[in-house]
Amino acid sequence: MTHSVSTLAVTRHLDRLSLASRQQVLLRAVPPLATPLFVWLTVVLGSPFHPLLTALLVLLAVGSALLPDSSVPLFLVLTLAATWALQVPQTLSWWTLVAALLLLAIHLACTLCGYGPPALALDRATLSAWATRGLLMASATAVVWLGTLLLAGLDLPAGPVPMVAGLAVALGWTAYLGRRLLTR
Amino acid sequence: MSAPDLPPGVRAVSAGWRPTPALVRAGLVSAGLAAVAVGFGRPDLLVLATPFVVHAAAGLLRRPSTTPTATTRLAHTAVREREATTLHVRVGGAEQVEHAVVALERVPTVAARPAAGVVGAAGDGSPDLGVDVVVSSLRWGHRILGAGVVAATGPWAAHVWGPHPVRGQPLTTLPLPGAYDSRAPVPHPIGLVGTHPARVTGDGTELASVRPFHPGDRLRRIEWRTSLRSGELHVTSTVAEQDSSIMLVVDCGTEVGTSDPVAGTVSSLDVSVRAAGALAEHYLHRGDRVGLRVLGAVRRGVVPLSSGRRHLRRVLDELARTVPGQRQELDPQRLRVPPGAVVIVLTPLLSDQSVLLVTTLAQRGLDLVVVDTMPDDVVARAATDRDRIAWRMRLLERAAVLDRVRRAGVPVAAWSGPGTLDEVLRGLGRRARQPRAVRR
Repeated sequence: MTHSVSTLAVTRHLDRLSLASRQQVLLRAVPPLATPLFVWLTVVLGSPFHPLLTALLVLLAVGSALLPDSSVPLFLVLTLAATWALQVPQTLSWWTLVAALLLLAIHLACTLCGYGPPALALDRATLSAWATRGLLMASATAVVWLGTLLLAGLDLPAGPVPMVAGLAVALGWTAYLGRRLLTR
Repeated sequence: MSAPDLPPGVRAVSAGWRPTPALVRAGLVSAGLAAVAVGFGRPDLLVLATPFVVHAAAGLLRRPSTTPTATTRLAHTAVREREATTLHVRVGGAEQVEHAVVALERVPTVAARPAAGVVGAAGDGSPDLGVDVVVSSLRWGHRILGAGVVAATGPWAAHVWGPHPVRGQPLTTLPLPGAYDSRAPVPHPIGLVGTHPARVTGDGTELASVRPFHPGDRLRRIEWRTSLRSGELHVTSTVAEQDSSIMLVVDCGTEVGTSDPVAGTVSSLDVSVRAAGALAEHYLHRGDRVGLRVLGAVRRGVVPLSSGRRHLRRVLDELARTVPGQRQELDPQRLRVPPGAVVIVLTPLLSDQSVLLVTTLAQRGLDLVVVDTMPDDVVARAATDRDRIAWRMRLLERAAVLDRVRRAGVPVAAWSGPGTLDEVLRGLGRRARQPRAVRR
């Protein structure tokens, strides 16, 4: 019975996907395209190539294309970020900015796909608003990247104060998010 | 839409707003990366986290506070087949709605524009946000149109309301009468004023005879050439033109063939209903009286004889209510037919009841015509060879029934649009002028 129900759900989902608008097809193509680019970037920056990890990432990317309004894109982005954190040596080169923009592209594509069923074609006003927001987020990323470059260039004294301050900000942000996300 | 308004079996996901997966993703990724960046002194991770921080912060700061409501309304309550109407979905309390989307249930007999029935609209900050979907009913009948779901998204796609079910609205789809025209007169026009030549003389345009002048004759009727030749005043007399009564009997007990408006295939009931609509429209436009009886309908299914444009709407409305496959025994003796009326039975002649009705009405001496509404592609459209053979055998049996009906003196004509009934009506007219024995 469970099998038949799940088969039915998959069939329904594929039926809905068959009606996908051209815009949705383009947006859903972003995660499977951006993920290999991100992996290639990590390899370029010195990370060893892991076939299993790459296969998992490709699987998650395809899952994100099929189910952009689910938790799959979250796992994809977290896995990509973890790959970067664990495999890539600390760097503030141009590639860092490119990696951030690739993650942003995956996130934005899945967000836009989540507005409705696959057959939905978003209107010009909504797309225009998101183009502006995307630029804003990309600009903020560039500003932070420049800021970190600047701070790295300064010879700041080592000590516990900057670390504690940063941790406090991060924890405060996490607590705020948790309260807002969990409270309805 | 509040929870109690939901149809049975449908569960609301949430009555209010809830975070979208996009916001959850932005929040968790930003928090995780920021914590690791600070904890392990990795500024590059802070760069990766930045866009997510911006999205999460913007989404949380602009969390919607008002709960929207959704209502639906159809622009028309009745349309003809394939006519389009608009389903207005109004989202109230939409000041903080950035985008609303409506997804209609897919129904085979309903077409929507766009074809998938999914339409979205961007909010502009006004309290009401309207989403219009153009829908078209492809087949006659009464149906609920516009059932589906509606969802609204808040600023930065951070919160979503719904999807909530929206109720459909009832829509009557009147059958689109097929093309029909006839030049044949109806056999027994016994009404008042109409277009059919009657058996009595009176005011009209068709010449009946030239006879001697009687007091009271109008001067303009004097036939001068005959009067001069005979030396006695003669006048022309004309055949009176009267209206007639047409009783349409639609057999809905059996429906064969596939009714697929998209593929363009029709069932026997489609042919019957559209042909009845065409006949009603034709005769009502000519000033005749038309009645309708739906044979097999569980509900009353009767439209009494009457005339006029409004009556056409009544007939079409009753035809739209026809439900196929119903079986309600009808005693043919109880079918009231006024004197002089022509009974037109639209049937595929596949059920014993319809054959019994036809033969019984013929025995009552009524002017009766059977319109054969059997689709001619049932054998070709059979799914398997076995079905094909079965249909051939059934059609052979039906041919025998048709012979029996014809031997009973009932003309049978397959529906073919304009001129379908011309020959049989002329035949009835000729027969009406002959003496005959009738069993009563």
